[in-house]
Amino acid sequence: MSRLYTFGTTVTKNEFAAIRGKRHRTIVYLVMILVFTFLCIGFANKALEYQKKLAVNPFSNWINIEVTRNVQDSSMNLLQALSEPALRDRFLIRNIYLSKGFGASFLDCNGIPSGLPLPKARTIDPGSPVIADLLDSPLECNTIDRRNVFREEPFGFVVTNGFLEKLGFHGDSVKYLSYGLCGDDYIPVHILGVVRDLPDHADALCTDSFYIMKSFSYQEDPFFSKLFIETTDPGRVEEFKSGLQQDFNLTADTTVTDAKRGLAVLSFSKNLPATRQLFSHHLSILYQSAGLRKFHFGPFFDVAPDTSAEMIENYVKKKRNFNFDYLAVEFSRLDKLQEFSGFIRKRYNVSMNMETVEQRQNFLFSLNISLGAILLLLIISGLSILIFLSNSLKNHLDKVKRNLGNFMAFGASRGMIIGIYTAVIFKILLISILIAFAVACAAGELFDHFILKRMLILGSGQDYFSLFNTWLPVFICIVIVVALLKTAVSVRNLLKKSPGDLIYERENNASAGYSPVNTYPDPL
Amino acid sequence: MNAFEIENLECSYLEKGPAVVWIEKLGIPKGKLTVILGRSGSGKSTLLEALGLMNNTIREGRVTYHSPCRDENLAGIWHRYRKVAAIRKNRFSFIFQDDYLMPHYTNSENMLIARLIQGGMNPVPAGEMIDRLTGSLNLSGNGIRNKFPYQVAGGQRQRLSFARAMMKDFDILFGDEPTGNLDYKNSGRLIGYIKETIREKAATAIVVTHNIELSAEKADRIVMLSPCADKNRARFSIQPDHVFDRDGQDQWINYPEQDDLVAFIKNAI
Repeated sequence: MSRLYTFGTTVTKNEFAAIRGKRHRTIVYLVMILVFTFLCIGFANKALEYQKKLAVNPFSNWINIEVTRNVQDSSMNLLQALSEPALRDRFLIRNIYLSKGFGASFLDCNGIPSGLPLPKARTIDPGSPVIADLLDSPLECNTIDRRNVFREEPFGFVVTNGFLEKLGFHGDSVKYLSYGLCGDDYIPVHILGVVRDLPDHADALCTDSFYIMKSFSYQEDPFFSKLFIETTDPGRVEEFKSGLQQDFNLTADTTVTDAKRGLAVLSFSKNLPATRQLFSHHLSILYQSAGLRKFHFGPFFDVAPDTSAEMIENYVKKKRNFNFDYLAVEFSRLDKLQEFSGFIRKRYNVSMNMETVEQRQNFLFSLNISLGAILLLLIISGLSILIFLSNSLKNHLDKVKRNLGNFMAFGASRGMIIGIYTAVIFKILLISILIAFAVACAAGELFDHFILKRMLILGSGQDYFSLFNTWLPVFICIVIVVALLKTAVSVRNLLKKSPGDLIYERENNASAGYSPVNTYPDPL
Repeated sequence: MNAFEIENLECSYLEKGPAVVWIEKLGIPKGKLTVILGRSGSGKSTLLEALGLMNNTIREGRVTYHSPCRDENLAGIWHRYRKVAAIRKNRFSFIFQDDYLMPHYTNSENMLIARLIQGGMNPVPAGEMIDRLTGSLNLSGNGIRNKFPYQVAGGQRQRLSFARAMMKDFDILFGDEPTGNLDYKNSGRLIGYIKETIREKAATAIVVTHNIELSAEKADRIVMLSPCADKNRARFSIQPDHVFDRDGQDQWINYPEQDDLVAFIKNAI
């Protein structure tokens, strides 16, 4: 069936072609402006996203106040004072606690100690939101349920991916690391999570409890109820279990194996007298057992499932006899940092490293500046699009206003003509936006992939461009709505004149000799 | 039966001061070609724009349009925007001295556009209508209908604008110097075509022109605007003896010789 000719479709088609211009000039210019804008949005969005991530990142909102011997007491007082929620709220502090930094030794994938300088480790408050934040987006979280992390069993380290790679491991291939106690004594410990970064550029993170418990001989501790055995042959694990049963009447409840590393972990029921005996008296005897001598085995650093947090806390309190290095303060926002610095200096004579304060404030400032710059850029881009479209339309209307007067003389209503021009501008904008979106997507991804990641080697883990964000639809909607409103107003203002004034190009101006009698009534 | 009844009409672009045109009483006969004559600046176009709802120049008086449906007083209609647009759309058609063809529309689209304002058309009847009109107006050669206005001669463009006006269904056809850009021969043809069309459509035509000979030859009624005796009231008016009609034998009443009428008008203007 043939398509009906209508005034709307005929005029829309021809006006679209006319405003689009020769060789699609209007669309080409619009696409150029839009591609530039979209690229800016794509890159700026990612940059801002990254900065925002850093801003809410516990590492960025984290200040370490060094606890030297001189300020030890005042630091403790400060810690006590900041347990008050009102004071925390005043300075936007979400957590404060004492922390210990230490060097930790681990065996690499070849069983060789990691060497000097020792990997950097630090302790963290188990209640710190940092833990939750870290384990919310781990690279590999292994199999540990994070609700239990640092609270009850198991104990272990959160490590960085880079550190694991340094040791020759990959995040997804390892569940345990051999951690060095005093001397050459290395025992397996859990990897609780593998993350990209840790506070203070540490390689590993653990709790105070873990740090304290590992500092003492596991043979004295009543909590440990696991043994590890290293073997590449799973059958030998059963052989080892049979040996334990036969020689010491010990039954292992469960066996957790890490087949890739040939490591098996045997769990025992802690409440059995034989288990307690094993860890308090028999471990050295086990090593001497003729039947078990051929195996490489030892205690696994973990607490029994039925060990309560309270028991660990009591134990830790009893054993705590070391000095902390830092008072770690985590802020929810950095706005009150300067004020907090003044407060602790004045009240507690505790100084914060001003360089750190300034660094954090600069970061906050740069974040706000970035946000402002992006908004300014969007406003300028939006305005340039609107001005360009408005001028294109104005030039066209100037050319055809006598013809439009003619249309009105033939009975075309003002609303009909306004509708046609808004539809034309919408069509031009929509086509330009779709083309610009496709071009910007391709250009942005190519730039991100080939220039930023390959040539500038900015790191392949981070994306530097994405158009799928909230900025883009908001920008597009605002541009479309304003452009259509501007179009409607421009056409309406032109068509306020009567058909006669439009056709004979009379200015509807009393000073030019024409009276308000000519004013065309506005139906809207 | 008149298409328009005019009483005490004062037309002006200015709110104050003397009006441009004052008409005490005038009728525009239905189904006839009425020609308005007058010197330049005598308010011919002002009057035409007032009658054709092109401009709100009616300051005082009454202009009754006897449309096929109902009578409308055009003096008080301007605040009813939709009514004005509807009358223009359904009842009036226009031809101007300039063609006002859309330069980027094909000639077919330009011809159709006024008709399309009245409603959509299927391509087949639209094509037939274009064929008939282009044939009548000698526009059918050289693929004119698919060309653009800038690709055809001035006379052809003028005929295209004729075709655009004729394609519409109308009750009144207004022409503001429609033959101003044409030679006498072509002007005669087009005015003849207008007469033929209004006879077919039972419509009325009101044409402003400077061509006195052609008016005397083709018009059914001639109305002449001349300086008003009462200068405080208006600059120009239509005196009772400046309205010329034909009798039953198609002769000008009081002027058996057409040349006498032409001479009189030339002298009066």
